Amino acid sequence: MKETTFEQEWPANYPPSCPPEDAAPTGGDVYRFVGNDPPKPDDMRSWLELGLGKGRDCQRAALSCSLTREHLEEVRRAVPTRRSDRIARATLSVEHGKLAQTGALGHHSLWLRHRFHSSIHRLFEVVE
Amino acid sequence: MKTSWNLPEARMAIEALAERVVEVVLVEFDGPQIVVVWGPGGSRRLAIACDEDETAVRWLEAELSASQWGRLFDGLLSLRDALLQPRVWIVDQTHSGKALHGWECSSADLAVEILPEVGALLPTAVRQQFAGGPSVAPVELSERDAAVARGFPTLARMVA
Repeated sequence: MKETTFEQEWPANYPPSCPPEDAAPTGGDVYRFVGNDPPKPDDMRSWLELGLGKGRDCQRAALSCSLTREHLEEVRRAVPTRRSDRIARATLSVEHGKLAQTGALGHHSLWLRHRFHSSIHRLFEVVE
Repeated sequence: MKTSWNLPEARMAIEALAERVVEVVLVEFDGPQIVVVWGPGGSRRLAIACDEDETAVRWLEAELSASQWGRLFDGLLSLRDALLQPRVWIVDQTHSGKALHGWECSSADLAVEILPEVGALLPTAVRQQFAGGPSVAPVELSERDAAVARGFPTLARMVA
């Protein structure tokens, strides 16, 4: 008899109905601030994992990212606490997860499927 | 904090800090980075995350004139110049947004490390989102509360 295994699609700490229905499949380049080159798992911790912030758990479970490198360059020049951060890029495909613009323009939330969650740092490469 | 600070001994009353309300987040990345807050007495302030450690984020806040708000959102006023007002406030908040401490000080006492880079503007996407800038006409407290509840663009329409 063939044994079947159940693999959960999204991380266990995501609340129900997360990612939201209007989130789009990933596809293409995304950019994220990181503190290490090459990026480490600690660079990919969500606010929910870190126990920080307040508000909706689904959004706090996501990783902040941008669709353009230029936006993060502008943020880095503008925000003193980001000045020493590096900008890393990952080229994602539909299998990796979902993405939605959240908050102010230029900011996106990235929800990763469970099977990529612990290794996502390997997909990012520091570009600046 | 990561930067060495020389803050006044006198701290703001915690009651005054409790009155602070974030009206809109202009820039965020793993949490708010640049926001508009309502300060004590109903004054609208530009606030930027300027330092942090494991327990708190330190915010630099300044009140802007109506003309300065407009120029900031039009990309004609840099963030650094906007924040270098004669009187500024430093506020420590937990990463969950609870105000801990606050100081009133002079911008002349601020280290350059805690300021935006020279010439840095609000990011292009943010200026496009708030094209024309928010109305900064004085508003009554009830309007303020409604605006906070409904969001920043609503405020712009309400008081325009």
